[in-house]
Amino acid sequence: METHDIREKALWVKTQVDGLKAEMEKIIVGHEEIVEGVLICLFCGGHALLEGVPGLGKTTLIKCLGQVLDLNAARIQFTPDLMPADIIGTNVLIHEGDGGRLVQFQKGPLFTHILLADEINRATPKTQSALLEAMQEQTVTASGTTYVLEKPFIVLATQNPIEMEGTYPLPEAQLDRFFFKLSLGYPSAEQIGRIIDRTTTSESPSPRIVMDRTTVGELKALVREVPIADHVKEYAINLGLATRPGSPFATPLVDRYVRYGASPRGPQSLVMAGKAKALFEGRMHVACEDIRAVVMPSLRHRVLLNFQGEAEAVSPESIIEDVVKRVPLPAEKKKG
Amino acid sequence: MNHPKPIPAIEATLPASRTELETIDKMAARLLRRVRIIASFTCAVEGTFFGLCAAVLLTFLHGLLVLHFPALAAAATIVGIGTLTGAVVGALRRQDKKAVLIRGDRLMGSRDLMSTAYGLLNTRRRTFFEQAILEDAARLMKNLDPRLVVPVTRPATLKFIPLPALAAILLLLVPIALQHLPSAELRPGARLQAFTKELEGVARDLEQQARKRDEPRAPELAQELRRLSQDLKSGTIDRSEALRRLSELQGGAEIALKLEQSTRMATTPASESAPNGMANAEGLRKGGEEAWGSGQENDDILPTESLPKNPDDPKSPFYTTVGRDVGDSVSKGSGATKGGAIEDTQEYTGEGSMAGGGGEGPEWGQSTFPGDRPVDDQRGRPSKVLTGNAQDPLAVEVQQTRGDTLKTIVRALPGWFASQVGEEEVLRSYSKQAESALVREEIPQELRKYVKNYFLVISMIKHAE
Repeated sequence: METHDIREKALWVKTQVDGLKAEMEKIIVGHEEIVEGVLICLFCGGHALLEGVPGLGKTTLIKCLGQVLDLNAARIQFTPDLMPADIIGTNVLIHEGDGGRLVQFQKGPLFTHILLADEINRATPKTQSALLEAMQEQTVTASGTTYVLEKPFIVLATQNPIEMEGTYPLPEAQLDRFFFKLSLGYPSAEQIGRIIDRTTTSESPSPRIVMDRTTVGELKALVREVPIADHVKEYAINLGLATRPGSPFATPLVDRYVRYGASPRGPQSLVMAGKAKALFEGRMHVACEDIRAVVMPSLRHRVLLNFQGEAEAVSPESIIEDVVKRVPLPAEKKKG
Repeated sequence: MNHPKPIPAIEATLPASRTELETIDKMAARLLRRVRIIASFTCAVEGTFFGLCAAVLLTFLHGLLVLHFPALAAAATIVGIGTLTGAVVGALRRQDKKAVLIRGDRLMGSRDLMSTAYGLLNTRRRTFFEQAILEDAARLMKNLDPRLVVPVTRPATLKFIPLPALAAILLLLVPIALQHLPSAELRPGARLQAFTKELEGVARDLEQQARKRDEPRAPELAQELRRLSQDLKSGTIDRSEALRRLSELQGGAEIALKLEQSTRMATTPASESAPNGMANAEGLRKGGEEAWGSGQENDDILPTESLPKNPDDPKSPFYTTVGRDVGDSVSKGSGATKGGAIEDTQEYTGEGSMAGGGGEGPEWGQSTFPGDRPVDDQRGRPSKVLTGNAQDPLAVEVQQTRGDTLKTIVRALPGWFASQVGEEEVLRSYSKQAESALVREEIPQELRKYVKNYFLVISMIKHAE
C-alpha cells in the first residue's frame, strides 16, 4: 500500500459520508449538524442523546439511519412501567415437542445495531440503568449469562426537555456515557415547507442503502488511525479541564455556575469526534477547528450546573461558549 | 458499497523520507528567522515609543530642575537605548518552530497540517497516514512564501509614536529657536560667550598657579570655572544656578588669587602685583555683571533687581565681602568696626576692632582679610560674596545662634576707623570661634567648607609671607 492509497481512502470516506448525508436528506429536512453528529457517534462507537421538543423528526432520523446503513434498528418507547427485562430480554419456559421443557433466553429489543430509546427519561432509573452495561460494555447479562451485542451497536436516545412531569432525569453516570448530546431546534419556514411537501403527498421518498455493516466497521477502524498532533490534543484537554470549577483553566463562569465539569470522557470524546470530523472532510490529520466544531455536543451534557446556575437559568451551552472563547488556541496567548 | 481497494492493515509502517523532512525543517527554520526579525522590529518600535516618552519626561525635567547635561544629547541617547533594547529583546524572545508553524497554519488556513507534520519529524517509523501528512506538508511548504505565513505586522505603538516624538521635538527645539530670534541679539548671549572665555582664562591662570605652588585648591577652582563656562555656553543652567555657582567660584577664585597676590607681594612691590592679581578677580566679577546686567531687558539669566548697576555701590546687595562680613559680623558685639547691618539684619553699632586692616585705618573694602594690606585698586570692591542661601546667593542669611561665639552673620558696611586690635590676635580669636562653632555644628553643613577654606588660606598666606 502506498500513501496515495491512503489519500484515496480518505477521499473515499468523504464520498461515503457525503452519500450517507445526501441519502438521509431525502427523509430528514434540515438538521445537517444532527445527522453528522449521529454519524460521528456511529463511526466513533459512541451513543447519542437527542433532545428536542416533539415533532422535530428524532424518531424519523433514527429510522432513516437504519435504512441507509442496512443495519438492524429497534425502537423502545420508554414508559414509567417499562422494566429492564422488557429491553434486555428474559428467560422463557419453552415446551418442547417431546414433553420436555426448556428455559431459553428470549432476546429483548436491545439486541440490535441501532437502538432508538425514545423518551428515555420517562423510564424508571432501574430500567435506565439496564442500558448502562449495554452502552458501555456492549454486553448484556441476564440470569448470570453475558451476551455480547452485535457490532456496531449504537443507542440513540431521545428526551423531551419540556414535559418533565413524571420523568426521571438521567443520572450523571448515564449521561456521561453518551458520546454526544445533540439538541434539535425548530426548522425554518422554508424547511417546514419542504417537510410538508414530502409528507402530505402520495409520494414518499425511500432512501437507498449506502453502507453495509462491514464498511461501517472498517470506517470505525480508520477513524482511530487518524493522527492527532500534540498541540491539538493539548487543546482538547484544556477545553475539558476548563469546564471544571477550581481548575487552573476554569473560566469565571465555570467557577460560578458549574458543580461538576467534564470527566476524562469529555476530552476523549473531543479527540475521537475530531478525528471522525477530519476524516469526513477527507483530511488525514486533526485540526483545532475540528475540536472546536465538536465541543458543544461533546461537553454540553457533561457540564452540571450548581444551584446558582439552575436558579439563574444559565445554560451549559453558554458556559461552553465562554470556555471556547477563553481557552486559547495553541500558540495563542490566554484571553481574559 | 464500492470502495477503491480492500482496506489494508492500517498498522503498516513506512521508513522516514529524508526529502520531506528536510523541506519541512528548512522552511520551519526560515519562518522562525523571519519571526525573530519581525519581533525584533516590533519590539524596537515599542522601545522607541517608550524611549521617546522617557525623553519627553527628561526634557521636561531638564527645563524644570536644571540638570547638568545637554538635553538633546540625553534625549537622543534615551531613545537610542530604548530602540536598541527593544530590538535585542525582540530578537532574544523565545520562539520555537512549532509555535511558528501553528500560527502559520492558522494564517494559511492549512488546518494544522504544517505543525502536525513538524511534530512527526522525529518519529522513525510512521503509519501511512503520517507519511501522507508529511508528504502533503512538504508539498505545501516547498514553494511557500514566508511573507504569507509570517506577515509583517504593524506594531500597535507605531501610531502613537508621533505624539511623544512631537512633544520631544517641541521641548527641545523651542528654546533653541527662541535663541535665534532677532531679539536674541539683545540678549547677553554674546557677552556671556565672551565672559565664558574670560572664565576659561582665569581657570588657566589658576592651573598655572597650582603647578607652580602645588596648591590643591586652585585646580579644583579652575575645573569648576571651566564647568561653569561650559554650562553657560550650552545654556543648561538657569539664572539662579549660574549666579549661585559664579558666586561660589568668585569667592574661591579670589581666595586663590589672593594666594597668588600674596606670593607676588613677597617678591615684588604691592603696587606692581596688585593690578595683575586682581585683574582676574575683577574681570570675573565685572564680566559676570556686564554679561548678566545687559540681560535685564530679557531677564534670561538674572533678575534685574538682583543685579547692581554699579557694583561699587556699597548699598548694593551685591556688595558684600567675606573678609568684612566675617570680620564685622562674627563678633561679640564689640567689634571696632562701625558697621550698619543691611536690609532686615539688626543694626550693629557696637564697638570693636575691625577684622583686618593691619595698621592703617581701613576704608571699606580694604580689609578684605584680616591682616591684609590695603591695596588701592581694591577699594570699594567686595572681596567675596558670602553665599549662605542656595536659592538666592545674594541674600546672606542672618543666623542667630546660641552661645557667645557667633552671634550673627550679616552683611555690614565697613567702618572708617582704624583697627585697634592686632592682626594676629584677631585671626587667632576668629579662628578659635569658628572652630568652636564648627564643632558645635552651629554652622550649616554647606557653609562649613567656606569657613574652613577661609582660615586655611589665611594661614597659608601668612605662612607664605
